[in-house]
Amino acid sequence: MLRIGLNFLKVSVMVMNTDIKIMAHAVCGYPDRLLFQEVLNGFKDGGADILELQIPFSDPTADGPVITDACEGSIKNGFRVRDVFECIAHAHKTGFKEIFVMSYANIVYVYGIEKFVNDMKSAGVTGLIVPDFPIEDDDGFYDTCRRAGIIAMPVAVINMADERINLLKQKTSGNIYLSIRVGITGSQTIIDDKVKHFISKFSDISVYAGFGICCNEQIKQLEGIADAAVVGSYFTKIIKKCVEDGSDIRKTLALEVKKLKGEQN
Amino acid sequence: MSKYFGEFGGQYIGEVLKPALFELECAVKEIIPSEKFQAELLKLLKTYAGRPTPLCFAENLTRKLNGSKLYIKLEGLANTGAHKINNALGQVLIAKYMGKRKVIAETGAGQHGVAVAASSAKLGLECEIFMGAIDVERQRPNVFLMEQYGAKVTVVTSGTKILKDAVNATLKSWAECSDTAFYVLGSALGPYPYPDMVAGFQSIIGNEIRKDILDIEGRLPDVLIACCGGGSNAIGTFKPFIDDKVRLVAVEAGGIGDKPGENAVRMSGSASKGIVEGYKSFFLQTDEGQILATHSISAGLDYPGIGPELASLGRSGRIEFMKAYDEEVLNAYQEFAQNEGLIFALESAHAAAAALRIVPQMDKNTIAVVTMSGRGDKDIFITAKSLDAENWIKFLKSECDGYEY
Repeated sequence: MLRIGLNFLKVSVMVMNTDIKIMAHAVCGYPDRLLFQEVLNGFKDGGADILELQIPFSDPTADGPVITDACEGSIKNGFRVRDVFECIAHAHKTGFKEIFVMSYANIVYVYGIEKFVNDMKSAGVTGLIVPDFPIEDDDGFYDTCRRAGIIAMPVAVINMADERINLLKQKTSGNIYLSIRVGITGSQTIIDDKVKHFISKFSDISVYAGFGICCNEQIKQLEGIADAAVVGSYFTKIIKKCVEDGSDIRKTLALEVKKLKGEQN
Repeated sequence: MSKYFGEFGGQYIGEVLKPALFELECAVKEIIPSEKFQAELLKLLKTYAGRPTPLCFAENLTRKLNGSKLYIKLEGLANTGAHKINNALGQVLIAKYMGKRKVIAETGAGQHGVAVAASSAKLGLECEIFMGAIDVERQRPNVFLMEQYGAKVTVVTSGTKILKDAVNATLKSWAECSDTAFYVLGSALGPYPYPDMVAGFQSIIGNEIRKDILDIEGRLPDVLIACCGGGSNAIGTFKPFIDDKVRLVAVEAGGIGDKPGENAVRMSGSASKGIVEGYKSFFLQTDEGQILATHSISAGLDYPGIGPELASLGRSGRIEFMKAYDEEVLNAYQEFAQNEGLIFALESAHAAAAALRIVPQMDKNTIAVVTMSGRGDKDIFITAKSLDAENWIKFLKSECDGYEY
């Protein structure tokens, strides 16, 4: 039922508006507790539609050096896992309606999967992304999310075999995070016809496409085939630079989001 | 091939590495049992790695300790100086059979890295080793050796800059190049099928002990003792004896004390269940699941996790876990050098320290075997500094004076 409902919703959204959404990614508590709020404000000012909040983990196996460093920095600054709820509250206050929380499996497992899922649901989170809970080894994560009525978004990867795609689709509640480049986050991805053809295999569900997105040209290429473009390392790199040269995080990020959306040169 | 060991193990890994792990699983099931592979590996182990390694009766220590008869399994006599070669040769040979042109690997102390670099040179594959910046600093001689074997050593500067960070970096690199590269994992851990595959290659240690002790003594030993970081020499020593009435003792790094960050004691310490680097096991971590820094005098035991099979066998009580502090380890290192003419690697000296405690408590008609997983030449910069600082510093200074900058 839920799936049909979401697909229906998606179709109607597509008809009304072909604009692709921007899912802005931020590492919780980076660069510090207060400046993190400026990050969210900057995303909102710039017009980012969706927010992805990453819980910092000491061993982020799937992230490149930029996000790894940000995780490390946040933990060094004293970030505690429970602080994610403060980040979520601030995201709501900033005006974000669609909020995804990304975490590595260990944080969720140690917190207690059921408690984590329920607490996230209570906090008003839209969905959860746990890349190292594959569908075969998820310790009941996907079922727990379904019971709690929160989206569990699997991470698919480019050139994945069709059988695997179908398996993932069966597990989703209508959304998929699609990594459009093999490897790790952080460097630019070229979106050619092959990539587009692959993305089109997911046309029956909502696609959040990311990995190496850093310019409007790429986002234009994704228009019409993905529902949202995920931008992560690019923003984190900018935040780091702002901290280093003392420039205004909020203003800089707002401008960057607008640039990505093609609203500013 | 087991994916789970009780509740531990599994394959907790992102979709990006799933195809590579599936390819590996298929290859492992097809290649390892084949006669051709087995014959080629056996020949390499015999003519290149120097197997079988001796089981040496420690006559002087047996007399001195006045307890059980003590035997030492001399894995340190294997080519490249440690048991690591057993697994490295096996995996690099699989890589060759799979048609991969390159192997990548992580290393902590550098022993696995050296073994992989040597095996790659021998088998004609390109080789890249990832090593934490701190380990590179304290194990420079091994970095030099890897490079001499023709390997590229990539320094990992993220995280705590030691073994676990090298594992993370290797996994990331593999995600980008798994079409052409094979990841040679160095311990019996990580995602399925690594734990079981590595334990399989290392079981040659226990199998040889079994054969030799039956030849010499006509019966099985009463106790087996091995050091335990990730645990590949421990599971390799123990696995062939799991179903026998033999006491199995794994020795963890007690470091400089019992506080968090001062040691690498998982099973006999405060580790808790977690999912890290692709497998579920016990990890030294905060109550929120952030992995803690560890300490050990031996880089090879300086690791926050433990292989899933050992975790399971430890939990069930089949394997007993002990710890040895840095100071006891140095003492054991000297005892075995002076009484038996053997320089243990600092990792293996943890097992030696436990043997010095266990052997005197046992009856005279019992038999103990300790695995010397590696020899200690590589540790001279640590052992000499700890045991004879004055002369060693003098030597280093005069060496430096001899160089022109």
